[in-house]
Amino acid sequence: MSRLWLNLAFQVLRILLRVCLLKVIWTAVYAGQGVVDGVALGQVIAFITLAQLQVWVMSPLVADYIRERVREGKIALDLARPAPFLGQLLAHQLGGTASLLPFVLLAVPLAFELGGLVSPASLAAGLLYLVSFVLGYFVSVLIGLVIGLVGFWTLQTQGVIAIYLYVSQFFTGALVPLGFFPAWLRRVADLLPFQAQAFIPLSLYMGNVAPKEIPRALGVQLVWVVVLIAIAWLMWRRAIRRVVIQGG
Amino acid sequence: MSIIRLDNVVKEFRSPKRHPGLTGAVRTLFTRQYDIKQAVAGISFSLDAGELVGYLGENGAGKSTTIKLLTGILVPTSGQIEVAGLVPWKARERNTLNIGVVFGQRSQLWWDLPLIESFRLVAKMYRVERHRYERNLDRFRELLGLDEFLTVPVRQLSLGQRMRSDLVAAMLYNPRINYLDEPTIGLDVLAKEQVRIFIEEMNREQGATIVLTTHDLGDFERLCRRVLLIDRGKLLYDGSLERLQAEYAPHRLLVVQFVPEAIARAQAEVLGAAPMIDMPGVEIMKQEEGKVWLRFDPTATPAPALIASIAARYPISDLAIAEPDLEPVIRQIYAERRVRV
Repeated sequence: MSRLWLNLAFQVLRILLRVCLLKVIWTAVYAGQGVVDGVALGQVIAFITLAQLQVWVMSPLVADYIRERVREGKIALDLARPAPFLGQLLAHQLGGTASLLPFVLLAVPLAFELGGLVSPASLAAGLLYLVSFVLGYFVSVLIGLVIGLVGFWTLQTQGVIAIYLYVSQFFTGALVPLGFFPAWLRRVADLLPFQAQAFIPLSLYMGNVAPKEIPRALGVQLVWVVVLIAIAWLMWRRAIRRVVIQGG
Repeated sequence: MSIIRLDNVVKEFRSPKRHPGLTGAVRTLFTRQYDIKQAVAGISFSLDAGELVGYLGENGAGKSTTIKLLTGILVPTSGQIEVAGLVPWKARERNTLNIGVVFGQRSQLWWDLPLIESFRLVAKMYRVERHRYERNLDRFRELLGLDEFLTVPVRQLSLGQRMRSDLVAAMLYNPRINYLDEPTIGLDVLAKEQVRIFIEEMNREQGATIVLTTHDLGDFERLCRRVLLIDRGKLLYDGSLERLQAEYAPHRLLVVQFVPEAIARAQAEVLGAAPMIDMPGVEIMKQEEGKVWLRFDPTATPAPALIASIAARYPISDLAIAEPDLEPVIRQIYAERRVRV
């Protein structure tokens, strides 16, 4: 058990370290100017701090889990259980996220202190954020699921996971806010599911979404959830038909 | 009433054809040629409820594949499978409620949790009501001596403890059928014996149908009245262990110890191919210090006749009849690769 806790404690440290570094860099980039391109330095730092926390809490644990189960042949045992495999995956994911909660409670005050996290723009923004966060969480988990299911064909998804983690962080705006993207890159970001995963909830939190845009923002998230469920389901149907258990 | 039925079941695995060397590796990437391997090549058999059957075969003979087909994890390429009235791969989840599985090489227990938590989880998953769970666990604790490690995290268990625990996890919900894939692999004599007693009890007490695969022929001799012998995906033999032995290794071994005064005379005559062994189907295997090992065919010369004839001429102090080991029998069958049923 203690190994698990230690591991989580290190995750908190890693995030705080990253938040601090990003804060230093962005402060240097702003070079004493309070506002660039209409975006205040404090906003950028608050955004990035929250984005880092969010990426962490939304980690799609299922991707690695599927890889491990398939590679070690443990999938044979999972499939001999009276519970559907996708349900087992969901339980694993939710359980893993729940085990983060004590550490989130620890990390949030530190993020306020060290990173420059701010409170939500308003009470409504905070509530909308919660709704949007849940949708974003499922977008993230479903992308992880799709990547994990690829492992049924390739047996190897580490590379894909690494690329995904990098690309998703980038297109989420967790490193550089999307507002600073060149127009064409911004359009690419809009077409990808990563903004539904993290950028939309973050923008709602910061109060950056105009009231009449809110239904559309949540709608985009919902569409991605539905689309990804459909993709994951189709992949799973095919995967189960071609299961080849490794070893034995 | 048969509870498991396989009818001409075939399972093929397809793997991309690999070409050797570096250029071959590049070619492998761009060609779509496949090697097809039949892991199970047309197997038919049926088992009655309550049978304890040994499933025997070399590495890669198709044993584990058959078990995975029976659990519904693999879909057969062709043929029919029925387990307790269900087609396993079509009704996989319902099928899992009827079966318990132990893969000796892999544990179904939760690695980081104390053992007892795994049992609780299994009981929850299979909806075992509390009363039955406690009764079962008490019985298993007594049979397998679980008490000393019930609260230890699974990753700290010895192999023997882990295997016993896996057996418990597979039987905790009283499944009608158990597939035990090498449940004694790597165990010491004591642990092996405990596992065998447990399997025997589960079969006798609960009437569980048990399919046992193992490389330890002692498991079969001890537990199974019926064995299925599989080789290269095909069934070579289906029947009792006795018949297998009778057909492939009909010989028995008679060990005779002469009294000291008779040793010299007996040995001289034996060495001189004296009339003592002048009976059909009898030959001397070896002799030393007044002891003679005779191999005989009981259908040609019944044991009582052979013993009587020797005892009539030489005073005997001790004798023993041994059956041949199963292992050379199996080796011989593999060597011949044909059925003599």
